[in-house]
Amino acid sequence: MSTSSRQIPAKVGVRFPRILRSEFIKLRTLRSTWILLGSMLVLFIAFGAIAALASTGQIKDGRGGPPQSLGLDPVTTVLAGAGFALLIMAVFGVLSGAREYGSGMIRTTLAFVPKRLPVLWAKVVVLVAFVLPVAILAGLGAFYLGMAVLSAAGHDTVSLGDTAAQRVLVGTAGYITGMAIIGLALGMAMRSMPGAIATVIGGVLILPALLTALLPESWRSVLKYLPSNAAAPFTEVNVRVDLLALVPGVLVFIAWVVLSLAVAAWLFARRDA
Amino acid sequence: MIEVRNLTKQYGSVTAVDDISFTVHPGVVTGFLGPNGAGKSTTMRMILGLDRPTGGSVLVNGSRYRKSPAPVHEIGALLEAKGFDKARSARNHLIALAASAGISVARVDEVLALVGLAEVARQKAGGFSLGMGQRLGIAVALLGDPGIVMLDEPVNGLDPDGVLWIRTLLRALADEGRTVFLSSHLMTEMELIADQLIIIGRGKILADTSMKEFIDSWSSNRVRVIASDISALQGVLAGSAESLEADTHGALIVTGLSAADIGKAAFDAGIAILELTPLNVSLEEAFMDLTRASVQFHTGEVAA
Repeated sequence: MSTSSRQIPAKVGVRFPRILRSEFIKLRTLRSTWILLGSMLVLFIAFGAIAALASTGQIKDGRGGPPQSLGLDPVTTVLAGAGFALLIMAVFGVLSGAREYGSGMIRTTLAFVPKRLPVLWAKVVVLVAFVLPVAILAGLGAFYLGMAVLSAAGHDTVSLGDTAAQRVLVGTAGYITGMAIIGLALGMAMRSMPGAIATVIGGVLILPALLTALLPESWRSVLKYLPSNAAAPFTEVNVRVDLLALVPGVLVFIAWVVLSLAVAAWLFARRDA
Repeated sequence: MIEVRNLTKQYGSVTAVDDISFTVHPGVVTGFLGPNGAGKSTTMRMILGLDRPTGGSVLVNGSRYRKSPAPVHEIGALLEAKGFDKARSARNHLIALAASAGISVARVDEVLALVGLAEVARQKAGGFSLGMGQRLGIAVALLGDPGIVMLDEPVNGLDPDGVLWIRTLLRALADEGRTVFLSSHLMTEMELIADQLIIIGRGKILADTSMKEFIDSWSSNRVRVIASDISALQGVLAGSAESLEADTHGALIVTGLSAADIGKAAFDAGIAILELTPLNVSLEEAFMDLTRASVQFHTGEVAA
């Protein structure tokens, strides 16, 4: 049998850096990417500033008096927007994983990269490249603006030199990025944006908190391994004795991220596209 | 060249593609014809490795598609008209795909011009008509300047201009020595475009032949003739025709002779021919006959 005699130029062909570039262009050219990243940045900082104003009594509640004291430490106060940032980035992760299934573009993508798995790895790398810097920037923005508000009102502040502040700032950025990856993995595995958004928000973020509140104390030894509880040691200022220590918390959370990616990769490599 | 060997695809208990084998050769346009649900798209997805065969194999230019170092330079494919993100511009869609294969932006602009989308390239693809979507899909297929072009129902949604354009394009691609493989459920379309014909029904290959052979084997060799003196003509043709029969309208149905043979014989015998009609079966009818047993969804008889 003769094969094609056409010469394929040596400089063309599929290589990982090219797949990375392709996935980068895909995210860059969607307006939703910039809307989600922008709203994460704005909400994270704005909520921190609002919480700081509220805690100094500069924002009154509906009865005209000062709001009930939040009673929180300065770092927790200024990072009040982290939860919103987390939700938005989890959705962003789902979008970057499931979106191509909604349009059918995934089959075009896989015709270009039939080996498949490099597409998933490239999506992860590009997602991290978009989310992590913005999460760090937003956390620092919230920190500086919030502390400025507290300082202006003569309240206690914490500097960036504080080890707990450093741990929480880095940890929160890592948590947000990790949750975005879990969102991406769920999006790739479930191939549906509504389903994966419901799962990541309901199952990964809300359910553990709900279970922790509802189940008896004896369950705590199991529940502390759930993603959001495992993240507490590096996203909360106060160390809680009923949860994991810092290093095990980090490792368990990373294990969740890796597990979700492993499931997504296993399905992605085997299923009909 | 695409070599399909004993390819089978089962979805649960349903066999979509049933042990089929065929070869698609370069330099000609090969039509993949079959009713809806016959297994055309499934076969094409398996050629690209998008669906995993239950059995059998596909070789693209002698090796497996997923092993190719430069896949889209081997096959450029259009599988679905809406396989793009609605929120992205046509040009950015192509640039993103091109990047993964190391294809330049200059080539992107080249294919956009080639498919006639240069003017609207920066508009969101979500606003495209079905025909423009098809053109964008064809632009994707041509990006890698591939040796094989594989298109699933490419004329769907195209206006008459677009249909003519794609015929001309596919002919030019085949003339350049490329392998052109396209599917359709319309025989009339294949008649105008394909040199080779692979007919599939219910997952099985029903015919694998050249278009010419297919036409020859399905055209009838019967001619209907009305003459000034039918009985005299019967006498003249009796020796050479396979069979002669009179129809109810006073015409003679001649089997085994061409219209030209009959005309000459009548002229030599001094018989005036009043009407002479070769009774061709249309290719559409032939295709229907061939696939009738295999169509998935029969329409019921309409009650009178």
